[in-house]
Amino acid sequence: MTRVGRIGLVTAGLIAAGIVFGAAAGVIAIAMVGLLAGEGVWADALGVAGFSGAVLGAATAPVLSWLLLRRIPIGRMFVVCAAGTTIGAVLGWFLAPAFDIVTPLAAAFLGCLLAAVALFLRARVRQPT
Amino acid sequence: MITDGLNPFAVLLFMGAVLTALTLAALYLFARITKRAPLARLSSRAFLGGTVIYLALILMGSLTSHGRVLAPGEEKHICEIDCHLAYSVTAATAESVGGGLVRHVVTVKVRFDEATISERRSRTAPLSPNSRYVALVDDRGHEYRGSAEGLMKQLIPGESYTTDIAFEVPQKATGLRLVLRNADPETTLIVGHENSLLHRTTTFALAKAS
Repeated sequence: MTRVGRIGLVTAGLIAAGIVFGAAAGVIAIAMVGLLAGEGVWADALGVAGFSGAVLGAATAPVLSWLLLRRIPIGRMFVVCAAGTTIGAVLGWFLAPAFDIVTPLAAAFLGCLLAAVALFLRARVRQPT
Repeated sequence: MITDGLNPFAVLLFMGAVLTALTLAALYLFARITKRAPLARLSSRAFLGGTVIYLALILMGSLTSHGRVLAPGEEKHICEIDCHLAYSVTAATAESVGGGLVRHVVTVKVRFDEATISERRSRTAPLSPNSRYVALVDDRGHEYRGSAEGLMKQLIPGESYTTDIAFEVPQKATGLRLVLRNADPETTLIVGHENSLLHRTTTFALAKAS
């Protein structure tokens, strides 16, 4: 397989994993919101949150892993970024002044980026000189 | 079904492109602040490359598109991801108002196409349309804008109404057609949407003037 082919294949794998972890982060976030707000979990909300998380994961996973987190174990990268996304989404939901989807999505995105930057900086500190 | 070209795949592509661009912009900022030149260079190149590819996709969608003029009664669905609302011209009148102007009144029928919703969806849940743009366009491409206020009513599945839209057009304008489209600014950046750069549009022929 050529170099370009390998890059394409790895990128496709990263997108697929981003979809899975992003969807999981979205579903977990909305379930946590439902439980914390004491309103239960609605099936339609799970679908919307999972879909939004999947799009977020598909977009961010290849960019972050190729450009910023190449030296981070891939499993750790996905788990930490998904956790950052989940925390961001939950905080965004409760910080939004009124019901809307954009604030939690933006906060989830920010959470994902902050988690990635934290991973990157931590790995740099740990690197032997 | 004749639509304005919005579909779930194009919306997904748009959302993915926006999020990717935001990620790259954030990485670039991070790299500049922390003085990491290689990361800044890579992220800016990826940003520019991605932008060029996305613009090329928009242009490809536009250059392979076809313009069309719908006959009176023929419907165009305007989509908000799902394509529920159907629009058609049912009548048109014209009268001279002096000063070289003609007042055209176009009757537009708006219908919530119940065939476009799932069986699970409530039959009483109303839908509010997104913003709309209406104008008459002549053979030379000049547009004479009208008010889209009458097109903003909520509808439930199966419901419809008609509304009259008035336009004042110079007497010399010929070959008038109705432009009725989504006016959300982000649609200009969606691949295959009739509002995107250089994309051909679907317009409505006016019913015979009385």
